Amino acid sequence: MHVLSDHNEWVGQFKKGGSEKEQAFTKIVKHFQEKIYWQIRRMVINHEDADDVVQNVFIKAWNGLDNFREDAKLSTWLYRIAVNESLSFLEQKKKREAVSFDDVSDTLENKIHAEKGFDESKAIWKLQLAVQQLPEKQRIVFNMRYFEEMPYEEMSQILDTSVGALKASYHHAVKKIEEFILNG
Amino acid sequence: MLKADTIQKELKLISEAVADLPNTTPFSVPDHYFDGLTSRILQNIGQFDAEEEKDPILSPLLQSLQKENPYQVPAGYFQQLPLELNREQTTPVVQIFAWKKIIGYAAAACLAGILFLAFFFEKDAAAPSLPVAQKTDWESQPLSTESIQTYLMESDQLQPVETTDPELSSGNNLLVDLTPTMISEILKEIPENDISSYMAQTGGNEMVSLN
Repeated sequence: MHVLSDHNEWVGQFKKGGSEKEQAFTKIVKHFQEKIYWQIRRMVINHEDADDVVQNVFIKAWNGLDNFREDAKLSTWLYRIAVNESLSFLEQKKKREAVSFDDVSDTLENKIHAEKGFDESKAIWKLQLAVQQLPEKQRIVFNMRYFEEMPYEEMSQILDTSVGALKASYHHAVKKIEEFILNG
Repeated sequence: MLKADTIQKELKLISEAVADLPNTTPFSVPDHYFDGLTSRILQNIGQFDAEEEKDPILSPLLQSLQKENPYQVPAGYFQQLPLELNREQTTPVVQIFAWKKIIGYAAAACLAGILFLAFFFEKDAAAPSLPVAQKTDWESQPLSTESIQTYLMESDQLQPVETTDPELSSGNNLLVDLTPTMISEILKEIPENDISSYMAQTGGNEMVSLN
């Protein structure tokens, strides 16, 4: 509850404007930057892409925080922006790849292969390859639940989906990953 | 760790193989990346705000170029353009919807005609009339004696038609004055077979009446 009151205080300071606005925003960025970064990084894989999307997320937060309603959680609001930005980034990338036929190698799977220290024999990397086989929405649900250990209720608010649908989606995602790990 | 335990139990129920995997991410991040991230974000936001406030110059090169149009127009084009436009305005406008009016009137006339004919035939059918068989067979019906007498009386009362021919109007010239010489000459021209057959039919009395 202490953290939640801090979040509200930062938002209040930001809305006051002036010198307090930048100070409040600095606190917000420092507090959320790593969580937001990793959420995005698991989606886009590449660090440079993740860095671009993170910057966009916080620029959007800066522009929209004046209109932020404090009945919602700040973390939920920021995660929602991050999910939308990640999905739109991947969508744009798909369109670019569809236009450019030479850029076929630039898939998420190839990006994992290109990562520093990649070793396909290790389970930790095999899991990442398995996750990339999932549809985008299932991938988001799996990442939030498996890596970030997020409660379904919070995921429901971020993704605007019912808890039941999220549970079903997570179940399907785990089963697909299991099949990939055992038979892939 | 209660939350993590719950999630792990849920995962084991779905798949033990996946539950046994490590839930860490193997991706690496450049050293001290997060240390400078906040300042870089704020720097970008500052630049963003500054660009929003002032009118941004996207390309100084384009800014320096003259905004003159390199394309050329035929001489006197703009002087003639209003005339061309006026000429187009004077062209007769064909009203497409006039056909609709004509079709409407024609339909109304047809409807009125149909209604009139329907009314006429209905009225005709309602009036008492002779059966068709009687109408067609009137010529074969014998006339009564009374109707013949009435007709003759009426015809006697009719005035004779006046004529300008003096011979016809005198009425005396209807009988031909034949002399015995003329009769004998006429009889010469008739074959004897015809005369004898005529005499046999009439018994010789007609010869007297002819004279």
